[in-house]
Amino acid sequence: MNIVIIEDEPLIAEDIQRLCKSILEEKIKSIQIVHSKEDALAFLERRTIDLCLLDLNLKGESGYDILKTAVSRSFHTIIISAHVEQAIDAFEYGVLDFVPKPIGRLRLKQALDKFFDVTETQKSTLKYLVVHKKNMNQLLSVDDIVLFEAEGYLTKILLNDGRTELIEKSLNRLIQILPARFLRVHRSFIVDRTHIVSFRHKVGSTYEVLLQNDLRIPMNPQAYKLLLQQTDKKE
Amino acid sequence: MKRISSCWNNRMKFYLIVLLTFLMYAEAFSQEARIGFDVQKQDEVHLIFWKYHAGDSTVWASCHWNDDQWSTINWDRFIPVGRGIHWLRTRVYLHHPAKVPILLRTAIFAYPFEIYLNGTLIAKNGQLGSESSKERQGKTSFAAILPESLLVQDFNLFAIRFSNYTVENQPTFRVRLDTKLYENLYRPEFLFRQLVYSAICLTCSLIGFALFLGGGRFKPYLLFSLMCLPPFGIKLFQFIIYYFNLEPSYNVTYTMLYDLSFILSDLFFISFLLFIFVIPRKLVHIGGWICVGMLFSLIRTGATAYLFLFGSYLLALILYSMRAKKPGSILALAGWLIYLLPRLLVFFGFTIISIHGEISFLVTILILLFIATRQVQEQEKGRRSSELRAQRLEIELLKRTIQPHFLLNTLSSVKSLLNREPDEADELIEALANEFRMISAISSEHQIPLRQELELCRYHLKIMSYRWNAQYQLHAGQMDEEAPVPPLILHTLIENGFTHSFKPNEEGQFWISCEKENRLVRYTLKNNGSLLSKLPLDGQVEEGMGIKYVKSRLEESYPGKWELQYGMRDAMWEVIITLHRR
Repeated sequence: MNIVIIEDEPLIAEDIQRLCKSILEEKIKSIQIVHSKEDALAFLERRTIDLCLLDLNLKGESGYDILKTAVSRSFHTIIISAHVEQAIDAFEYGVLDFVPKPIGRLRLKQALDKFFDVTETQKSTLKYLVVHKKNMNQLLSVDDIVLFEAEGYLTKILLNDGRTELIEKSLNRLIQILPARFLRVHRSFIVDRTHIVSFRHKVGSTYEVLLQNDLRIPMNPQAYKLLLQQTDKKE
Repeated sequence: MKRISSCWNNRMKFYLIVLLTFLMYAEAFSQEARIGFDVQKQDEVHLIFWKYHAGDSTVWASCHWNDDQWSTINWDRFIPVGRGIHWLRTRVYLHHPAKVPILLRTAIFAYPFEIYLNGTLIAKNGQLGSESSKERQGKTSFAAILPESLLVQDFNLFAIRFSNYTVENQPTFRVRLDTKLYENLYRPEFLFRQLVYSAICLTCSLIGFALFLGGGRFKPYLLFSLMCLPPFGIKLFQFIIYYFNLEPSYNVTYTMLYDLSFILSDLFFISFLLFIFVIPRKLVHIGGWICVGMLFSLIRTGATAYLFLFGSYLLALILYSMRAKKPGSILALAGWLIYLLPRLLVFFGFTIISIHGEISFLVTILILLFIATRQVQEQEKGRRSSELRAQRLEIELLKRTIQPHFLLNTLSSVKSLLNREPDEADELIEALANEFRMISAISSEHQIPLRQELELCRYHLKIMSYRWNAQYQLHAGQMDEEAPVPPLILHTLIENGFTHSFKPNEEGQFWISCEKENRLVRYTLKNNGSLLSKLPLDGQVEEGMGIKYVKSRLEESYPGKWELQYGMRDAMWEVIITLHRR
């Protein structure tokens, strides 16, 4: 995997690099350090990476514009900061984790493990997804989203009002940061389960979900079983 | 409020003084007032203006004598010419036949005298003489019934013949006609009033004293208490004399004490205002007024000059306070008017009964008490808020320095160094410990020696040098290192300098210098840095918490006497603190 560390203090950046190397060992393909905000934005523009370790306070400036840019991209972001009061905001913007300074080795390992853990939906407080559009970042409220559909390298988002948006994050990465009400019903679909009207077994091993606006979405057997269990519990 | 006071300053002050002066002198020259007595409508009439002549002649008692050539005098401004026998004459028009007895009363008339009505001797007070030993003083208050047969329903001539061998001059006297007959010279309600009034004055004085003792020794309370004492003393004294019929013969000591008590009361009034409005050089003012008071009570003349001086001085004092927007100054102006009103009325020849003076005094002291109480409240409020501010600044100081993220970031650096360069980690921890020790020692100080502040800055730069893996240096110019400065000001400015100046690993230089000019001290702090060129050209930087901290510290230590400028100059970041000295 390719990692970038955005941190202005040289000693701390080196320390993060050292810790990452010792935790991830040969999983790392490349690891780079960037010191300033300008360098960071330029770097993110040029390179394809998998994980960004970001300090939110670069030279006393707020790093929120870097944060917005970072979360709109395909890679995951982990915040490393001494300002713990920024954690709540950071999670609302969909970061994978928030590691307080000084960085403990175990705490960093937990955060990095999340990166590889795609099975379980975490307890998430995500409120906004950032969509990158022509040099500007647009905020989408997660409450307005009905479903995500994989579309090549990108993901299509369907909103309440019928509009659609494209986001760079893959379904695999999205499910890691989305709140628990979002369900991966299919290889190519994530659905907000509050929008599900009914679901049924079609023919053979094909299943189907019916959404509020008469949308029919294919479903896999695992999701069918899960939904069935939950309905039983409720009744 | 602002408009009123500025308006007062400029024109009204001038006009008022001009008006007062004019009124005083205009009245003084228009003496030929016709005095009449309408027994059906009036209780009493005061005989204010008299014709005066030195010397003696029996003809002067006659109503036919033409006294046009005599000089005209006013009962408040009268000095007989030389020692000897003197005559005073005045005419009173009687509107109706006198069906009720009419009395002529005199008060504080210092000389033995005889009274003639339309040429006939009707009463004597004391014994006139041709030299001091032959003279006998009369009562200070005197009353005689006017024989009905002598009165005419036309002009009646009153003539007073007196000698002044014992007492040469007594600048004021009172003569009035009235129709109130009572056994004692004084009416019971008059005596009762003296008693009540003296009791009120005593109570006010005691309240003032209690407030002084309980109210943190606030001096105006004491002055207020003292101000109420002379009227109390006078009224009690008068009551005792009148009640027990102890009326003494006229004597100088008694009238001097009487005058002195007024002057004392005025002096305390002035001191009260001086203290309540925090006028500079109070003692000079008070000393001056003690001299003025003594002078006037000794020469026992010039009541007009005294009144004019006192009134104008008080007014100037109050207007000055109004211009400085002192709380309560407008109320004080009302107090001034009410305090002086009865005296001015008497001065201008209006008839007033003594209760006017008493009521006005009571109203005035109530106003003063109100002003004093409000002042105390204001002070308390100010003290509390400055205490709160000091506390807030102390917390702010601790927050600034022991900010969690500063500590946490430094710890992160220590952690990193521990692995690579344990010795450097050791030094970094030492520098951090030094800085924190010093901060905890000075955290509650309002000012510290510049030396300590520079030391703090150096510790901070050392920590930063390790963290950013670069050398930072502070060059201090020639300056007085013992000069007191508010804590953590330079420290905060240096910390601010970091945020937008240096790239990682870039060396940094800070310069601090101090210039002393006549009336100001100027501290200049500069630093270089390659990131400075990226700052907006106009040097406008958002005012952060750091700058706010510096400003409130400066305001605390040098209220209203400091300036803070910052911006780019010659590719350097420059902060200038200017402190003005009074």
